[in-house]
Amino acid sequence: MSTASSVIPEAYADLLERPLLAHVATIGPDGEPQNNSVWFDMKDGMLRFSQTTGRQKYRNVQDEPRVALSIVDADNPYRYLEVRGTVERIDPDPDNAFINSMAKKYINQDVYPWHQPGDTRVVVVIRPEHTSQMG
Amino acid sequence: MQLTDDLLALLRQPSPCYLATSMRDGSPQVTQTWVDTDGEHVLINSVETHVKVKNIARDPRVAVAIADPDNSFRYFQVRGRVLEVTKEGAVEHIEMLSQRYTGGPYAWYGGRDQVRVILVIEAESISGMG
Repeated sequence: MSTASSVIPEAYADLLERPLLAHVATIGPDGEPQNNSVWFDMKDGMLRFSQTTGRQKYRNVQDEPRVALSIVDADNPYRYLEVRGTVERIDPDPDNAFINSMAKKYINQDVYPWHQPGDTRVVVVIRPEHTSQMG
Repeated sequence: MQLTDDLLALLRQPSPCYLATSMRDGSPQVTQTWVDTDGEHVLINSVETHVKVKNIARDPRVAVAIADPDNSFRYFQVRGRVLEVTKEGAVEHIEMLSQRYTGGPYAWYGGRDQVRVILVIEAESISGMG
């Protein structure tokens, strides 16, 4: 895990490193919000989560790259970080290296155990632009 | 649509909840909230001047994620719309939720003069995960 981006206060960097879920809001095809939890990390100042190309969320961020994430401290629900940002790029993950690294972070397994044959995984890379926090 | 029994069970516990709305510029916003139900709707208590409430006045479509307090990997996503934003009973409601979530009276973090409102959300789709 590399250092936090400048827009994310250093005091909240632990929320990016611990195995906490991020709730990600995206905008759907009719302009409506959608809301899903993801495993994520931060590298080189960018928030990253894995996605299969078959999912609605993948199509959403291609049409509307602006997203919002909420990350809450599981040990203190009144301590949280909310991040708004833009999907800057979508990287391929042909060897599942990224999703496997997420499995390591979240469930301490070297290989993501729920990979389905035919699933194509990508890495959604978000530039954080604005944060608010509490606690 | 009717809320499912599994979902109702989570809505009656101190479950973590995340409310997504749309900003004026069309980008999404998401914030953590407390959550409740009247048996037919998802209820969220908020404050009249908060960004999410202003967003809802402009576009009532919302997405709510309700997580299992015992297993945060398990959650439901409810997509729907806010039917009503009401002040009626909202102060009593936040006090009840505070007892449920914190075990004590509401601390009025934002000041006692804030105007509490209840967002009454009708589900249009429910998906489960985990």
